[in-house]
Amino acid sequence: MIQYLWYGLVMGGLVCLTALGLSLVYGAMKFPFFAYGDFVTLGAYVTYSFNLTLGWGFSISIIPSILITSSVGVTTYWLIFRRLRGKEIPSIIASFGLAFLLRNLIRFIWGSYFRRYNVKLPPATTFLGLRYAPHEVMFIATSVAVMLLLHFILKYTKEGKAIRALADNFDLAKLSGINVEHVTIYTWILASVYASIAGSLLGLQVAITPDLGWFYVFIPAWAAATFGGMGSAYGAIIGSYFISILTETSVIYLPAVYKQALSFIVLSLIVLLKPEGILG
Amino acid sequence: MIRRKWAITVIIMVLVVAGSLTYYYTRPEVKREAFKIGAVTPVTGMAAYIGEDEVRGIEIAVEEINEAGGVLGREVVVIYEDNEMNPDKSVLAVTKLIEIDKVNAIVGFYSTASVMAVCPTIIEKKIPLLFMAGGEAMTFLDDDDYVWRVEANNNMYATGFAKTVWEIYDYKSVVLLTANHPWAYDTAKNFKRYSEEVGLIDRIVGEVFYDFGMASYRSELEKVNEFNPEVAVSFGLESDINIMLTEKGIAGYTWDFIGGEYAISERLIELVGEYAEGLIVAGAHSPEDTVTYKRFLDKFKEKWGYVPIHHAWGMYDAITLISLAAERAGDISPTAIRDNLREVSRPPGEYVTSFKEGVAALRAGEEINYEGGRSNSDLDSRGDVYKVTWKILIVREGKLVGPMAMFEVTSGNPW
Repeated sequence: MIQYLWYGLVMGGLVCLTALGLSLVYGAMKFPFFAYGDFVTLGAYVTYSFNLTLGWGFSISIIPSILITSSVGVTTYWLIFRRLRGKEIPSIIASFGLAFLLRNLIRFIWGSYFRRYNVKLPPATTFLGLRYAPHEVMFIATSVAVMLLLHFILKYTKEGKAIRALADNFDLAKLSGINVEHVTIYTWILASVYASIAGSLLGLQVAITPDLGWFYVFIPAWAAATFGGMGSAYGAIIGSYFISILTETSVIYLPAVYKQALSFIVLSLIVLLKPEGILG
Repeated sequence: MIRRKWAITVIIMVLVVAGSLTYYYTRPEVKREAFKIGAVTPVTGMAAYIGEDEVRGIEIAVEEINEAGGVLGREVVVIYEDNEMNPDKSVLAVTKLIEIDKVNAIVGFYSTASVMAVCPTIIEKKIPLLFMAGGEAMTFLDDDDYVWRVEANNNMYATGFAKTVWEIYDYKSVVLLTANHPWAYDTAKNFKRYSEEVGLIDRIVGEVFYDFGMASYRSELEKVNEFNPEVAVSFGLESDINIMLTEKGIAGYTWDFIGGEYAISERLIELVGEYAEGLIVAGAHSPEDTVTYKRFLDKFKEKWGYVPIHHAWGMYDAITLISLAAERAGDISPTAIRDNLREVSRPPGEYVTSFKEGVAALRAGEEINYEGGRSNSDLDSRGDVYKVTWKILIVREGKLVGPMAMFEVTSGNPW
């Protein structure tokens, strides 16, 4: 049981980074950003390019990945979603369009075949009956660090408070003198940073493909963010860990093939019983 | 004077008529209408890497055929459709190819579920389909000979895997890792049936079902490990096997891992690195000693710089067989192609390894037996490949070595 719990924590960390970004964009823009998984993919590919093609170390390669993914994020906001603010359906359609565009652009540039970083993943060690690998510890540590950082930003910085205000009530935030444009760009940068980190770490876990973000994390992250309450960062954290631990430990009692179905059952139940999510 | 004017007028008229006739019979449009083949492959989505190689295999076949003068003097044109390995999109793609593009035959398909979805349309519209998926359902389909497979079916795969596990390696405890997919379910079912027949069913100590597209299979592998097996046999795809091999290596599980050749390429072994060491790759490997295999590989590597997965050869064979069938019939109609596919693929015809050789033999009045790059391409009474060579290779120091063992597997349905 303890081993499956550990796997749940590792997956929870990966899902959490994506769910947080998804939730931040929803808070600022009030629409589900379906291209977010593809920003995760972009982050992984940029890290891959710096790591393998230019020979940079993995951790160092994440820095240009963050810069490039954030630039793309802000550019798409400025060109597309800024003009669609308040129009939920056109924004959703545009985000689908952007997702296809990004995915196929990635396919065009890097091809369809799997890729891996030039990183050797060391074998696991066992401590008190728990088998853990160093990179799994890194996943958990990074997600905890990122969560704490986000908590600090949201709680103690002027921009963070503005992000929360915007997520709570856009009109009131605007009336109270918050520079909405400035705060929204700040949110997109933050969400893009998370996408880049999530993609880079996910690329260590699985081989990188143009569908990386969409197939592997978007759906669990979507379920987690909805479970926690779309727009609530703390809800996304709780949702990510709850769903990941639930699905990984379910393998003890149920065939593993029901793991994904279980996420959807949880999602369906929460939508039926508490549509705003547990912290929404 | 009048006579002279008449003479000039007649000469001008003759020149105009002669010029017009010359132009009419030599104008580019008079070139016969193209021979159209539809190709449905997963160019996007989880199996895009397969579709990419399939398309490249088709391109090489088309180049060769057109360089040899085309099919009955017609240029071969392939119209591509992306099905994303999705049955719904496959049906739309096939309908469009038949109704709008008016293709004479269709090739492609990697997934059993997608082939099953399009078979009713194929049979109703009477268009020959040559596909790569292994599902058993198509073997027993009442398809009026319109549905053909250029790949071993999953009963042949199950037999090959079972012989590998029980006869070659004599494992005492086996866990099946079965993907949530009709092909994998059927292969696992046939594997168990064969094991029952040889009295070794008790040695299958567990079966773990899993989904495609997961970011991690740690829990599934942990479950396998709990059965304490000697080996896990995977009925999965490259996308999940690459994650499993890495996670198995990191976790330090010591049981062996057997995967199919359709899911493990040289590129995957390079990708997984040291954690692929000891991996057993079993399957209906393409016949590497044949002229067709080698010639295709040389062309592919020259053009794309890597060794493709076996599906590239399969698609090359499919296009070549269709073209040779039309040549033998002297007719490009779908029914004529259907009626001649078996005839150009099997003994006792003269052994040919390409469209060019086949056409030369046919025009010399010979019967032909096309020897493919993916298999010997002998199409049996149920439209499957009759015989494949099963090879077992192993990964040593990052390279596929072997064969550790080799035997023939047949469909059991001779023509």
